Amino acid sequence: MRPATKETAYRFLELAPFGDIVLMEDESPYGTAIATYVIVKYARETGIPVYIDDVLDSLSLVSKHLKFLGIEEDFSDVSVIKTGGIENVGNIIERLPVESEPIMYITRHREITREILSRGRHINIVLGMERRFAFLGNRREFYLFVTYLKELLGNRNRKAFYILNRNIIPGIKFNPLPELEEIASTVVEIRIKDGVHVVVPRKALFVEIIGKEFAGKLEEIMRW
Amino acid sequence: MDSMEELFRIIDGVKPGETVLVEYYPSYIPEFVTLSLVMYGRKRGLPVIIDDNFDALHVIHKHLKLWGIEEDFRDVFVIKSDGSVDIGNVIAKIRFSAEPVVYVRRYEEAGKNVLPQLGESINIVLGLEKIFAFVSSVREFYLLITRIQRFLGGQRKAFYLVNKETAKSMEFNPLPEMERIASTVVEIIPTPISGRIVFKKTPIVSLTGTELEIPTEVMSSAASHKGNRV
Repeated sequence: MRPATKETAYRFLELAPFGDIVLMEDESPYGTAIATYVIVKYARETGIPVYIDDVLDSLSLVSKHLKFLGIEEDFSDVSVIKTGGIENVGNIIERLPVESEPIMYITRHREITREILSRGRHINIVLGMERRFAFLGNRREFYLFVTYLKELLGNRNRKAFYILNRNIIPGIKFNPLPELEEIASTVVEIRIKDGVHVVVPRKALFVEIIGKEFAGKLEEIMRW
Repeated sequence: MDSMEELFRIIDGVKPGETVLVEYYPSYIPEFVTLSLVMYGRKRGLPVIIDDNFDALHVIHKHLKLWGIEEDFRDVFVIKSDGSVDIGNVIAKIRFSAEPVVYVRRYEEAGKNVLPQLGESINIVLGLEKIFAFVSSVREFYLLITRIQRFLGGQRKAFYLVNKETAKSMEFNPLPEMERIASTVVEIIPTPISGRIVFKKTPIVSLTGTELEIPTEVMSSAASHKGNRV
């Protein structure tokens, strides 16, 4: 299997339309850190500002993990909406308590998102969404969140990447994956195979890529 | 693998700041892993700190005796949480609280005075999964998880030994989040004559999935030949 080139990866990121959601289901070690790194790098090189939803210090974990991989990245030029947590990374523009009532949480999140997107096109990376879903106590709260995610769909100033850790899902009372897979225009899995990360599209607008494996070798990605 | 030195070279490869999650099945693995890490610390001249939750070190001490290995952990710093039998050089005691959050705060207080002064060091955490047994809500669970995540980094190399069976039986199983946080995850599978180490996660990504086998004989003879007192 030949590793995907920088051009292939960037073309994939480019072809995801604004207004849409790409769901990345990570079950690999370090997959989330590497994916976040690549998306932020792509955004910088193409001049699109990034804002990250950081739930319970997931961005700090990405930053620490990248360091162990030999990549120094402090995300200082990235705006961060921080939900809960104690470790600050990036340019934090808003803090939301993780335990707040879903209605309150969504209302405030909607305001800040509108404010960001009113300034133009952005790439949005959501890290640790499954941790937020873990806090939901009943089906009503669950569907309030799902409905809110649908509301964000179609905003022409936002291209979103939801990176979820699949291994956490079985412990969550209300599994968000089936709903998210429906809302997302593109769904990919990140796995590891013979010591190499592979991205496998499961749902895509371009059917020819479904089920294919796109390998990403860390040593090469670091040279991109 | 036929010598301790080979194992030590692998531990050398663990970077400062790493959290290594060591998952094991019921066996003498915690005894031999703890012993190996203590021997490693001595050999490399690094201080060793053991977080001893609920007398886990006492059990290890007694079991090693059954193997004919006299190891008193005299030169090992111990932060003791609950439990009643002191083993090693106990430098701090933490009063247990059934509220994990209170408990972790006490731990952070106790550790604050000791850990930063040690610099590069080996930290062995025993019985962590038992603290999760007291978690009663998602909120408490993530308060613990984010605090454990905060310890990732710095100068110490930390090894969290977690009994997989115990962890899995809990209402809030910490393993998936611990595996996500840890920079290295190994699973050790006991065989009648060895321990098989499987690398499930490592920053040397190409090594993911590789295995390594260590005969019990190598460790017990290294220890009984006083290889631990070099």
